[in-house]
Amino acid sequence: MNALSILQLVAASAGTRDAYDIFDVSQLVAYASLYKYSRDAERESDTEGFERAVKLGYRADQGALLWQGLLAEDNARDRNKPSGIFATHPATEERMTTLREAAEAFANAGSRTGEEGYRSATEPFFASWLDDEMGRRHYPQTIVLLDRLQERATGSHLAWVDYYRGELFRKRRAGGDDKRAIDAYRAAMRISGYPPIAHRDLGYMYRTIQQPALAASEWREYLKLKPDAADRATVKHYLAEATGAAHANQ
Amino acid sequence: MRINERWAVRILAAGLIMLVSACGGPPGIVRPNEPTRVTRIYTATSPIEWARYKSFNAELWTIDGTALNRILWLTNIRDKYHVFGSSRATKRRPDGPFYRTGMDAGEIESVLRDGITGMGVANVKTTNLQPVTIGNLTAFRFDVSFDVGNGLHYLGNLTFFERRKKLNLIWYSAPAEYYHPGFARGRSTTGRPANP
Repeated sequence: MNALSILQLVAASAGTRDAYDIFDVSQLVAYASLYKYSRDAERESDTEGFERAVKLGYRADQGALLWQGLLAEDNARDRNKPSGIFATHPATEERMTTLREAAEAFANAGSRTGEEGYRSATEPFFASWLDDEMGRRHYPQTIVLLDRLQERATGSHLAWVDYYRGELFRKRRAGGDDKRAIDAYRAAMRISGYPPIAHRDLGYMYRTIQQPALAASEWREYLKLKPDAADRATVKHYLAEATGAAHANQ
Repeated sequence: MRINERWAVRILAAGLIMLVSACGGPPGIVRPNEPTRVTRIYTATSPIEWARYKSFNAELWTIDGTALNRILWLTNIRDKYHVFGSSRATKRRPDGPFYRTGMDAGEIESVLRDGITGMGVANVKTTNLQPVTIGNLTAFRFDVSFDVGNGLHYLGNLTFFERRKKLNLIWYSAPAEYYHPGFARGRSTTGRPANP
């Protein structure tokens, strides 16, 4: 009979309020033990995954770099910070340190990063994943992610990163975010292959700061680039509103 | 408990509170082809009968049960309040799916999409945002689809408009299989604001 069973037995036989508290504590201990088992399993899988990657000729330091990026996101988290005792995985810092120490022993093991294969495999999902990330509405973490992506992204990916940076600032509405959003949308538009929706959303940004003529210009460009846009009627509605307001201001 | 599960519990609790607060009598009935006052804002006319649960600023209508077809009427969502809950934006938590007065339609669509995702459903997709006219108001409508934990795929649409700097919405949803097509074949309900 283990300690947990004894605590439950005590709780069941006592029948007092205190006994129920003990029962609650025993359940907590049980849950915490289960999570620890999961964390140990994850540690084992980290080690095994690292060894396999090294055997296949991948650079040994890349795993620690991945966790370094995730740690930066964890540190930027402003709410819902994870609890250590009920975590199903080891702490990010622990995983990063463990992999970094393991990599030191294999400094010259391999040179592959697999970056091209990774890029082509994830290409179809890049924009939709960023869209999902925005939907979390944890903007401090998203800024860290976008900064990291900006360092590695090329071509249209870079344009998407700038576009979503604009979206983040437009939706966050903190002081100075309107200018940051406009700068980010404009940066996206300087890159070949940028998404036409950058014009639509820049138009919405101008509408928010009551610049109807600039908004109308962006919406016209959007409709020119996307004549079959699903939200065409909505954009035309706002375009008519902006055109009327621009005439009224003259 | 994960965030989505917590939200599912909160939504369930909110639903129960809504039902309890409607306990002036048993759930009401919406009679076919009779103009019906809804949440003190709309007058709606339906060709078919609905069961109806009322609270102060929300109503829930269903024909076969809320898991199979439902219309949720939510009114007077205030500036900085969660679109489907009672929480509001604070300095500690400024970034949730909170409605802000003056948002453009695309931004409200995205706030509602994120609010629906926060209820614990998956693969929430919204498309086809369009302006529509309700009475003498310009409203917007978009199609929405999502999956729930038991594997059902839901379709529906969400209509919203701002009135007196507050957000009002009408959300219809039903499983894609059988129930949604059945509604689309002629069970449509028409409505107009009673007091815009």
